[in-house]
Amino acid sequence: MQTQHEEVPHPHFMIPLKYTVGTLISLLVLAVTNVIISQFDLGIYNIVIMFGIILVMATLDMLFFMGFRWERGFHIMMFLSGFVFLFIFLSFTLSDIMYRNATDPYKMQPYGIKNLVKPLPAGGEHSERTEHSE
Amino acid sequence: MDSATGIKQHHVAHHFSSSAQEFEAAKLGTLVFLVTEVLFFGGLFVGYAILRMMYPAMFVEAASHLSWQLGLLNTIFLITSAFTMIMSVRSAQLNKRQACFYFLLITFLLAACFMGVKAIEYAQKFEHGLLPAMWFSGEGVAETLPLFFGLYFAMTGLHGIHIIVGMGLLIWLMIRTRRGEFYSGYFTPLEMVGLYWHVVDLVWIFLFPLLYLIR
Amino acid sequence: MTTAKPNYLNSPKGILSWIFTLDHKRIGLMYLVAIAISFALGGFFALLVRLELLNPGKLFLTSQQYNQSFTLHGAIMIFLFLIPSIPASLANFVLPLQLGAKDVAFPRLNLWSFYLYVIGAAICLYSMFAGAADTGWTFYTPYSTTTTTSVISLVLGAFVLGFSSIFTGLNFMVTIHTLRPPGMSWFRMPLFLWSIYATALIQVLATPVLGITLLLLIVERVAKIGIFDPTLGGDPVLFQHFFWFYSHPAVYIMILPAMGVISEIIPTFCRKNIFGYKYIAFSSVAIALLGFLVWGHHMYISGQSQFAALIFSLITFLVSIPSGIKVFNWIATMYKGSIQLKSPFLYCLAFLFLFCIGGFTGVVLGTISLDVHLQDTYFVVAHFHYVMVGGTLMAFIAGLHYWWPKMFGKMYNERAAVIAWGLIFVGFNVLFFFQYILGTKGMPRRYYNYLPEFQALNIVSTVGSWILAAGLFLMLGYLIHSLLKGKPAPQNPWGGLTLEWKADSPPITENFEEIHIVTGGPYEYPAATKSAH
Repeated sequence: MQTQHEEVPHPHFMIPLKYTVGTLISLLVLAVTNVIISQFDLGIYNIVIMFGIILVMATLDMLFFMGFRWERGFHIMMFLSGFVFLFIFLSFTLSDIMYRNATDPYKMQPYGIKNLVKPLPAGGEHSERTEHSE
Repeated sequence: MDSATGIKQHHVAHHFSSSAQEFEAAKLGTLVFLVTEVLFFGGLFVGYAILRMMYPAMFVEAASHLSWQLGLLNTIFLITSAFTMIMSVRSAQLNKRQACFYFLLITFLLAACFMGVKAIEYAQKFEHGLLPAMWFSGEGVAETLPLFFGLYFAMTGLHGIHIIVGMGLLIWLMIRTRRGEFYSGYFTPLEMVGLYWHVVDLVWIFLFPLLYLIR
Repeated sequence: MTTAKPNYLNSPKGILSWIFTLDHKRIGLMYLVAIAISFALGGFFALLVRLELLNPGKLFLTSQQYNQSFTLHGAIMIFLFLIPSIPASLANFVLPLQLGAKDVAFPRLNLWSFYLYVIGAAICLYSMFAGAADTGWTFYTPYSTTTTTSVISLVLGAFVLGFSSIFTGLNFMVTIHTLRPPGMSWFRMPLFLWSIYATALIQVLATPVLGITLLLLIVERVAKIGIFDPTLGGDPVLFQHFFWFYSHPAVYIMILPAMGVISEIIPTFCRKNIFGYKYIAFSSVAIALLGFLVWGHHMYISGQSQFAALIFSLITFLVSIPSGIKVFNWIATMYKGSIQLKSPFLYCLAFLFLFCIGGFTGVVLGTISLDVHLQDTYFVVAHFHYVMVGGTLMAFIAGLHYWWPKMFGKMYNERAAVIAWGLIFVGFNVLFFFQYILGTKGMPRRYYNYLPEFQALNIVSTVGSWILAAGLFLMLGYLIHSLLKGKPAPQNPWGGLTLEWKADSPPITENFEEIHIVTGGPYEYPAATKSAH
């Protein structure tokens, strides 16, 4: 049942050596740069620069090591969809975590599990809620 | 087998009509599998993001307990191994069996070095009691420090498992290269394991700064 | 066997040829048997739960046993039955046939996926005897990290089953991409393939997150990493995010293939081209993608921020649009068709009826202000049983009846099938409809005890479970009877136009003797063009 292998040229592409060597060197340089920058305190810029370098490294890895520069668009889309859905996961979860302590319009203080249950005052008459509800 | 070159011709599986179709299926399948890997690790990164947002100061303190020197060393090992992996595919494309084998071997050894350094790092953490909360006995200012080390071991542990699986795949590739199964007309497994290896590399590109270089 | 012609069932022979088979049809059959056994097991626990609820307080189970029963019922039905049901068994059999292909793209991976299923099922079974878990199938922390029952093994089983599901999805996705026959463009594919493709998208994109969630839960129990543990600074609600990021899309893993089956059967039994082919195809993909954006509607009262709840609620309403498009198109397909009321079609009607009720109550539950009151009541239980049993199970049975002659080359007794359909349909409604009422009256789900005024409706519901079980047993009976004494099935008993009906019944191992070239859409019945005038 097995067919003889036909000598049809594959749609394969051999990545030119200059790209692979270039990528290797730039990745190593970037990794070292990242470490060096992290030794200095630049405030908010530390994390910005760090993520910038990570993204450049990741892009280089995908473009030239995984060969996406010469890949079919569909395959790239397929692979990147993983990151898209990861972003969905992250952003929606963050939309919960970030706003969980949003301000309660009635009490003018944050929501939050710690604040929700309060022991009744010794007099035991009423919470502040009734004062504001009118 | 062709006795002169030692190359074994590859036969297309019966349910494919051409080797191009077979290759396309393998490529697509691998990429989809790698998407699942990205999401698998992704869950941990989401956990990391949330916890880091909750306890920024603790993460800064925790990173100071990690050795960026060893981390950088491992980064260099892994990036270089990704390069040698590419070179082994290239050698197969050029019908250079010996070179292909040796590049695979170097890749394997670099991965082994990575795991060796990892073992040293883990040993240091054990020594200082910087472990997940069940066994945590380390010293630190932040109350929630065990949280970081739970995450650290989960993330680097899962990554390490992937490296070990990759090493197994490399051994399998070396055996098949020795048998002469890869040549310019057929090197699909080499290329697919290569893609896997680059994704493992990609995960480390994110892991290293996020765990070791927090400021 | 009277037929001398070799087919996939009788050649090659021997038990080993089944255990190591790479043939998608045999793997599909093995899946079918495994899934049927799981369904019986899950059903057994369902009957136990229903029986215990005959009266308030103790009947024969302790509260602990009751908790374990509904946990096992849920976990088995979800992970071992609903998720693999249509994709792994029916689609495994039908998908390459509908493509005119010899096999799926990765036959060995297909077999692996089956054995992963078996291993996962075995671990779940082990868990059942090693102190069955009592957390509910959702494994919510912090209870699941503190209970003494065997959570780890059940979670491990679900983890392995997740990989089985990923590999099935991956395989089908690549098969649809690479193995379509000459002439079959994307818009000439049978709609079943579209829905399986959309399902595969979810399986591939969502299941890994379940994997990491369950893994983290195991690590949490073993080493206390603390991500979900509030005493260590973690966030238990985060677990629910992780869990539902998979488990809500998983609901569409269950229902999308069911919709695909319905889209196949309706045109065949109406002798009419499907109405709005592209809309049905794209609505499958739309459901799959929208399904990723709504998981928070399971968490309205979990302490999630109101902002997030608002967004999730809004998107939840959007999901009803593609579902509605599908229902309208199915009904429009029936309009002026020459309908044959055979058993597969009857199950489709049951699906439409029950799925609509389930769907509408889903919109009710997606509304925050209502859900706050209905959350964790029997209203929710009735809702998802209407969608999962009334939707997926009905479509699974419909598909089983539709492709049964192709699978085994035997016809079943149609009259018995209609009686069983009646029992199942009536039994199902008696069982679950009154749970809506119980829910609105405030009976909480998963409780061992209840107020005496709920007893009458609970008795009705339990009686319904017996009628449903009787119908299912009757079905099992006549299907087995058909295997032994059924009439041989013709090549195309229903007059379907998709490619699987061009294969023999049962097909030969290689599926087709020649390669079929597709020249038109999958449902172009000649009568349809006439009735259009």
